[in-house]
Amino acid sequence: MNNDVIVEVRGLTKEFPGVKALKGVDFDIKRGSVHCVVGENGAGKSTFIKILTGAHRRTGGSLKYNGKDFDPKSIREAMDNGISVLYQELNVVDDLTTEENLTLGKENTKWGFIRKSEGLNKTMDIIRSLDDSIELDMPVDQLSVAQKQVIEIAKALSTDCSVLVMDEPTASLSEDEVRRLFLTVKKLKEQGITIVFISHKLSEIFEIGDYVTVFRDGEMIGTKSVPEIAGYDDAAGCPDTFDDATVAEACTELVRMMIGKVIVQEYVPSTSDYSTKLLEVKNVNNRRLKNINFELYKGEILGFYGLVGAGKTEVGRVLYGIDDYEGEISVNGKKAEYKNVIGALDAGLAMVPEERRVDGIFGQLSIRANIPLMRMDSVMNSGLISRIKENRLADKFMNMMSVAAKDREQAVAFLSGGNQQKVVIAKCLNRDADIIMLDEPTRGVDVGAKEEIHEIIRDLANEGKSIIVFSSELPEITNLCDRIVLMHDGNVGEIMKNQKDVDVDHIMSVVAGG
Amino acid sequence: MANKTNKLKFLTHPTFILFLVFVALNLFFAFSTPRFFKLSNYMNIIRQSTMIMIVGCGCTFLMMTESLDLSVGSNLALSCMVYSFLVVFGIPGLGIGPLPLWAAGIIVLIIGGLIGVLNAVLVTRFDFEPFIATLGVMYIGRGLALATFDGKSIRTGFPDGFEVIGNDSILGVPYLFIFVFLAIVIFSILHKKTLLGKHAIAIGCNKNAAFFSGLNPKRIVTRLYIITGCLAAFAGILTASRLEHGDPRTGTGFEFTVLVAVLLGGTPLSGGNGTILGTVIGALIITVLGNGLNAMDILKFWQIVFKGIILIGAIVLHSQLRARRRNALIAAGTKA
Amino acid sequence: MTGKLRLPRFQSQLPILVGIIVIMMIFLTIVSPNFLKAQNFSNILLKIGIYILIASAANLIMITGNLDLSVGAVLAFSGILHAYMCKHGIPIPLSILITCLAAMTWGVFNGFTVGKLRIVPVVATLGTMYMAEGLAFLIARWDGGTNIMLGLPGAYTRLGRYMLFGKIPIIIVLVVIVAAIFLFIEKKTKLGRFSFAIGDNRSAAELSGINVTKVIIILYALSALLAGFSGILQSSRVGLAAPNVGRMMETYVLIVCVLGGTKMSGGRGSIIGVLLGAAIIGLLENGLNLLGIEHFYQEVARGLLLIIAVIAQKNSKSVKS
Repeated sequence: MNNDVIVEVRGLTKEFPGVKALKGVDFDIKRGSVHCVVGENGAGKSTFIKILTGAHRRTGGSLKYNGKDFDPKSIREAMDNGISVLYQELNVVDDLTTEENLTLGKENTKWGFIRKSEGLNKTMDIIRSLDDSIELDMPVDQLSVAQKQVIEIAKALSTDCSVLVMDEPTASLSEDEVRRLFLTVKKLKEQGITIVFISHKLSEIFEIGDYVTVFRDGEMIGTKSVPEIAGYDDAAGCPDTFDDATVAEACTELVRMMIGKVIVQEYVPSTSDYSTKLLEVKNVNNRRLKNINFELYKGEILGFYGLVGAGKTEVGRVLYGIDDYEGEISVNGKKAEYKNVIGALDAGLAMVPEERRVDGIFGQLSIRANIPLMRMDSVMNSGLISRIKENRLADKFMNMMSVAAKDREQAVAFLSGGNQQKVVIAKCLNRDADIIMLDEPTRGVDVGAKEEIHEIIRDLANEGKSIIVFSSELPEITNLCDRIVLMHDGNVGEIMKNQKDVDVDHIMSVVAGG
Repeated sequence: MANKTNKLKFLTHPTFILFLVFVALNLFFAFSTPRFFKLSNYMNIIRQSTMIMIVGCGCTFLMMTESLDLSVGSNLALSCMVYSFLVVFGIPGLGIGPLPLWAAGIIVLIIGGLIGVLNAVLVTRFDFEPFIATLGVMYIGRGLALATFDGKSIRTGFPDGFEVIGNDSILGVPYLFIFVFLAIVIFSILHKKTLLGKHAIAIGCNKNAAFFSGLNPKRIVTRLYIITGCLAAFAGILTASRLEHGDPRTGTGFEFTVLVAVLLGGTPLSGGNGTILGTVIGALIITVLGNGLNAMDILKFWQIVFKGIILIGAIVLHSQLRARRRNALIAAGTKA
Repeated sequence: MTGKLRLPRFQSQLPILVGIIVIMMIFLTIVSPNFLKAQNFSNILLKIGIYILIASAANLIMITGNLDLSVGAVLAFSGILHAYMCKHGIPIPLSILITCLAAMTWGVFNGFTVGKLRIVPVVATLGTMYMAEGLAFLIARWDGGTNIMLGLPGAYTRLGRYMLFGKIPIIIVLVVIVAAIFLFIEKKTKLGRFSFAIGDNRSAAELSGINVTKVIIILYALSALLAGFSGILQSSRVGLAAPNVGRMMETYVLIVCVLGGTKMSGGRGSIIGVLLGAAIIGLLENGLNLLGIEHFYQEVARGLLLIIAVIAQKNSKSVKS
């Protein structure tokens, strides 16, 4: 009905077995605009993008593209219809030249020999218009990430793409390259291309965005024009660039939308002993972290909160001996010299990693075999594994965490996500470390289990363990933690004490970069 | 400035470093023994490395796509036997007498291609690890080679002209050289100029990119197995002609020698780009090593030892170079 | 120890293997009158004994998702080294000790290149295979021949031809002991548990504080030790050491493991499977011999068996998921 709208989403739903990833979403994407999509992990934005680009099929509602119903069965089909994606993992072949990459899959051939493609000039013009330093015969592995992105964009445009989805394109770019990419985005917009821009760096939206849609818990929270968010009633009076204060305030508003109303439940302070300092981190820097300082006391639950990409996981990786760093870390008053996980464990740290499938579970092994792996001594009897002890240990943790499984011999791969997480936590708890780090401890865990896990964490703290929780769920942090480290873009923004009526607005403005 | 760095870039290119190793090896042997640095000896070296190079051309492509073929050795032996059998006895079961050389050659090449099909079916349809699939086919091929003439060699009854392609020359250039030269040229062209080569690189280097570009990896890998099978069969024919007898035990361990040559040449087992030139130099290094040690009257068993040392050394070197290059790129990419 | 023997949950193909063995035995009993004779069984056992000895450790390596191609060469190298030393006046027990240590050095080297330098195991152990094989030939050559046979002390063959109670060949005794030890390692020790964990999820194993490099080095050393000891045993039994005895041993071992249900990608497998896999190979070869089928068809059969085993493994996997 109106030609302005290129993608019209109405009541769109997507159900996975047991999970409703999208719960009826409505919004429009305007032709020729830069439409930003934001939301925390699991908010539903990637599910939406996957439906739009043919990676997933919707289970309900409608999605209209150019006024017609659109339900692509494959990524290819979406591409053929003019919707392309610039993935985070770039799909260029490093060992080929620019030209070879541009023609890959649609070469002009005779007898199997590759001939000069006629369409290439057009593609080359596109590339020149975006970045004139790229030559056709350059091997792609000599190009920067930003230049590779340009090649992929050009490849998409050469197939008459009208909607280009950019999935966190700035994640691995330097500041300089980001500026170049934004220039590219502006040029594309001038050419009438619609861009769907996904980013975790909210301030970027105010540099290039026209509209922004916020997702939370599978729902669309709001779609607003960027001037509107920045506090201007109409686009006419709105300046081209916003000053820092405006951006900070607008980001806070976005964060508020992304996180929603935080119901501060009963926060129960732990019996922390603030005279015993267990961990001290001084001036820690690395590729992703800038000047990190904090302390951890005995019996305390310390929470790290920040948006996705703020550097929480990176702090955990440094502490656990995975990543290199400059600066000083002391555990129990002693300078930590360890350079690997084994050293960190020996120093008294243990961690539940963020990606349980990749880094946590041993899928083919049984629950019984998984749990003791971080401290085999707990099931050894004079140097040998005792099945009786193993069974006892497994039963203990399975009861304590109410793991739902057929029996302790079930392979972990066949458990639900929440139960897998419980096994991973059990494995870590069994280590009996003084300092326990949990990275996103309740991600993908149902509400009941979440409360159980929180209860276990509190109990541990009251037993005198020191806990660090990294989470992108604010309620989890405010319910659980005694002190909260707020992170933004690799920095510690503020360290605050938690209390019953904690200032959630203030937290949001800090993690938004204010 | 950019130009200058580009010009000097070849200095750190793995193939160039490999070439330097080759030159150094030659210099070492030339100074160590008077018997080494002679034209006739170099003719010998090329002759000795012929089969490795010819089959290596196909294996390089296969390994670029993250596959490998262990059946080439027994494929070579089977072809050697079947070719000899066909030209000496024909097909007794069908009452067909001795076949002419060309007809036998065609049949053998088809059989070689079928072995390639078998490998390809196991790898692409049944999702076998290439290592296991081609190992199984290796046993089957070796057994059939032995079965061809009841485990015995065929030594007599060859028709006139049987030995020509393996031993004779045209205008002073041995046929073998011509075949090797042709194989190198053809496969270099295949690599650089054709869809097959380009798509093989794309598949090995970035599976997702290949997928999004609409390539069909299974079809390409199948073709490469068939090509490699035919090359091994051709090498079998050349071997029969060169030795003037059909030996069912020939080519034992050949698959690993080819593997080493290709790995030395810089094609990683994990796929990605390789070069035909690298494989050729790899094959020459292995052969020169053996030949040179022989000329120095050092026991030939040392060459087996050296083969192992060189293999591990080369892999460590290649992986270091690759890691350094990657790190340099990452450093250049994210200065922030 | 735990009262009853419980087969691990994931090895549902074990009953199938037992079934295959039973069918093969029934078939061979019917078609060949010589099959059920004690002498024949002892032949089979002698033949597969060496495979089992080596495969028991190589199997654990495969369970970690790696593999060892150097076992055959290490076997040949050890046989030759042992014979050479005995011939040149080193007391037999001392020679055995030195040979075992030398064999383990190869294993440690493999473990270092694979576990520490992270070189693809096929390539790394292929390199070791060449080095060990070449040295085996060289030692034989230094001794002045292609084999070492003449001039060995009289007691040289005592170990290999020893019969327990005058009846049971030592190799069979060893197979039983080694199989029991590895069953024990698999079920009762950290080493075994960590091997499964590494093959299942290497990254999670590292994050759980398992010293992956150390485990891999120990396993390669064990594999080489058993290959070395097998070499000593074999050369002692036949009273001669030849540098080419280990040819293709690595692939037999691989076939035995795969037949026994060990996944090439790691995380699954068992010593029981190895025993059954070796039994199938042994019965197959024995059967083909008894039926008077030419040896070269046995190679074909071996190749087919490998392919069928992998297909069966893949099918049983797809049924589960």
